[in-house]
Amino acid sequence: MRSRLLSFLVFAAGALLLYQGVVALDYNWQWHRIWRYFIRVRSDGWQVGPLLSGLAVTMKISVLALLLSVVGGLVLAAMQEARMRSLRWLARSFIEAIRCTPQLVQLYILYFMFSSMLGLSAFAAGVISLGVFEAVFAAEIFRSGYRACPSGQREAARSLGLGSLATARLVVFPQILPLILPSLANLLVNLIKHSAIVTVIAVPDMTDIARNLIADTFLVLELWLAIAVVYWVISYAGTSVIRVWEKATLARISARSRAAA
Amino acid sequence: MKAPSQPSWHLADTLVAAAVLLAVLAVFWQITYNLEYDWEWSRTVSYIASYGEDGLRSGLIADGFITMVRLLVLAGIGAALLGVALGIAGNSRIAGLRLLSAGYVEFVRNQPLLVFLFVFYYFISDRIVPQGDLGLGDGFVAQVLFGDTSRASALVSGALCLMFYEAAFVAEIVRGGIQSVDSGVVEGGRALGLRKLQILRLIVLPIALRRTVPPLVSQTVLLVKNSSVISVISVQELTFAALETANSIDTFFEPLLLAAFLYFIICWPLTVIAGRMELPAGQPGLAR
Repeated sequence: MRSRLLSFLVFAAGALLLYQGVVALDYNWQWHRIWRYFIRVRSDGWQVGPLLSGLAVTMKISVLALLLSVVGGLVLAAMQEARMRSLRWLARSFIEAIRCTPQLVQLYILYFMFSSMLGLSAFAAGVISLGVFEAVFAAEIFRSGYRACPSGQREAARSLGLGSLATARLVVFPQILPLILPSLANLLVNLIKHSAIVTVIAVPDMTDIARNLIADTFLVLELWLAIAVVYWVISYAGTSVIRVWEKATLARISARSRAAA
Repeated sequence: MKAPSQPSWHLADTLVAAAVLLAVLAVFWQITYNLEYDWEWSRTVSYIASYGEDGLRSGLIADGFITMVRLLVLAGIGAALLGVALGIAGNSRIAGLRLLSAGYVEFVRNQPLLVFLFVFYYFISDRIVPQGDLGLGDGFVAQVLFGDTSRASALVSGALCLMFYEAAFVAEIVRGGIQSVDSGVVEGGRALGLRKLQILRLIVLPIALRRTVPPLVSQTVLLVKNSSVISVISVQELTFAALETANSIDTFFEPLLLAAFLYFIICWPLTVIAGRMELPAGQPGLAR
């Protein structure tokens, strides 16, 4: 009873504070003006607005970067598990260099230094920078999955005469795939969030388009809050799906091990 | 069958090392001769510090580094305090507090830092932090924390933004830590007649906070890296200083590489520490 009363008081106080803040802001809210930047409805049908096409760019960057980071992560993980010491050192130092410097600085370095040298567009620089940054985390996912596979499995595969690549592809990977898929989906959600950073090199993603629209229309708070909500919806939906997926995977694994026992 | 032998240095390793060295040299060659790029390390160094008639003067990059450290200290302390408070609220028996904490954490965590920064900066710079003199005084502590106190408003806005963003992540870590405390310990405290706040202060927090140290160290690395994004709202920290330097000497390689190196020497020891802290099993009061 007391805690319910306290709950109510906390909520009332929060709502009052928010209301006071909005009033004190003395801001001329014009929410009705922002919808046309998402979808334009005309007499001859509807048209995709700039913010939605920006969202499409955001998704395109994220998916391409995801592909890059999965491939890069596999290579880095394989190098770290390799028997050759030089490969392991190479992977280790690359990972440390990427992990210990800010993504923004990496993006600037790639864009300002190498884009002219390699003829990269801003879009490509953004994709590569994001992909490489997340590849390091993907490598960690693959490696922990590889380690999670009981070593007896690998030894059995070796004694059957499989090479290390064949062992990874035919024995280890099929088993750990359900374990690492949720982590990879998590990576995609992170990628979508981190992709906002390509705005600083003027790739027309959703954040960049919102920034330009704000300069044109002065709908500062409406547009920022609207795209904040869009990012939030994407990320939250993504993490919720992953949570359900993880639970289902775990349930399936435990059911299988119970059946085996 | 024999276990895979301990890796050692072979001929193939030498070949790989040689190939890497060659690749690095090729890139360097490409930059220097094909792009006809003049390396300007000496001019870059003059932006770290220069020796003039009035003695040694710190340059743009050194100032940026110091501003970044101030930003980190202010935002770090703020995020720790707010994060622990939100983490405790997230485990509260009062549903309103739990909702408040969860709502804040979920809203902030599912947001790109850049977008959060733009939304928040508009409120903060407009409403909370006035432009110009903040009335911080010019005591010794204020000068150490804020530098030139009459022009600290950008720094304070940036630190507040970073603090409110990181607090959400700290809150999630602390909440998990508190939740992991065995309920038997809490019941024991209650059986001894301790009040709720005493249980929290004397039993739950000491155990929970010790468990949260390794993830918090990793979070600190993220704080350092995220602080570079504050440059887009014109706080003159390291990334901003590096870009300014790059623009003023019209050469991008050296200042950016220098900035990356400076971030690296802060972050790398922290990741090594965080790695070492991955705890041995079965230590009392520590994570499994």
